[in-house]
Amino acid sequence: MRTARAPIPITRMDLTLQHDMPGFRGARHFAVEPLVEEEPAIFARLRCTDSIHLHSGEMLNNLSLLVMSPEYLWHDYDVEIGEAMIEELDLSDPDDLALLVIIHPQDPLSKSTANLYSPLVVNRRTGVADQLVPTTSEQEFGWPVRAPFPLDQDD
Amino acid sequence: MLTLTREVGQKIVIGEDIVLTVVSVSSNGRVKLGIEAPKQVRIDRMEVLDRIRQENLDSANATPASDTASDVAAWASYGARRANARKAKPPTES
Repeated sequence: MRTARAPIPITRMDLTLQHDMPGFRGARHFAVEPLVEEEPAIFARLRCTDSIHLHSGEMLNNLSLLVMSPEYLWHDYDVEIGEAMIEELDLSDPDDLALLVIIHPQDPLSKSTANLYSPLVVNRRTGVADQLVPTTSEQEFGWPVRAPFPLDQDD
Repeated sequence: MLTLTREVGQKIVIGEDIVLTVVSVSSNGRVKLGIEAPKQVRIDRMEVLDRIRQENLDSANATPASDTASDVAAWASYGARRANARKAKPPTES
């Protein structure tokens, strides 16, 4: 299934990942909190509500990431979701699908990048989600791990 | 690390229900493996998973623990401008 679609504003919701978020052992439950409530809700905090471990064994409390709805900035964003993931996330109705991509923030924020290679695939009806781990390299996949934000003439 | 020698067509069983088959070996050193495993077992290429783990960690480290009012205002303002921009450039491929 391809994911190309019009941008979807982010709403407050709870996510349950089917697998640990890569890099964070035990990270399954997240709260999505839009940065601003008014439209367009493009950016959100993704707060993990589990206590988690890094692969080094170190405990990590308060894992928190910035995420965004990618189609607002990359209008032609389109990735392939495999059968196994469609089944696991119960995405038989394509309208249930939403994508979130993780932001690597920088100062100034226009220098930030977004991970378009490995989006969070979300069933927005049930909150069941998972981070996509592609089967092809970044080059073959066509969307980079560190996609620069589109230039903003006001910055 | 356990090292086993196998020939094309031979298999290795891991635990109860994961079976690896050596499908082919080419002269340039490429090995094709077949993997049978339960659906809930995630099978990833290690270099891909490592790249994503590292970027998740780096992104978390670069993310402030809470948003100041000026951060939120900056993000909201950027978001609104981009959402209203008629065209967004596709990302530059590395």
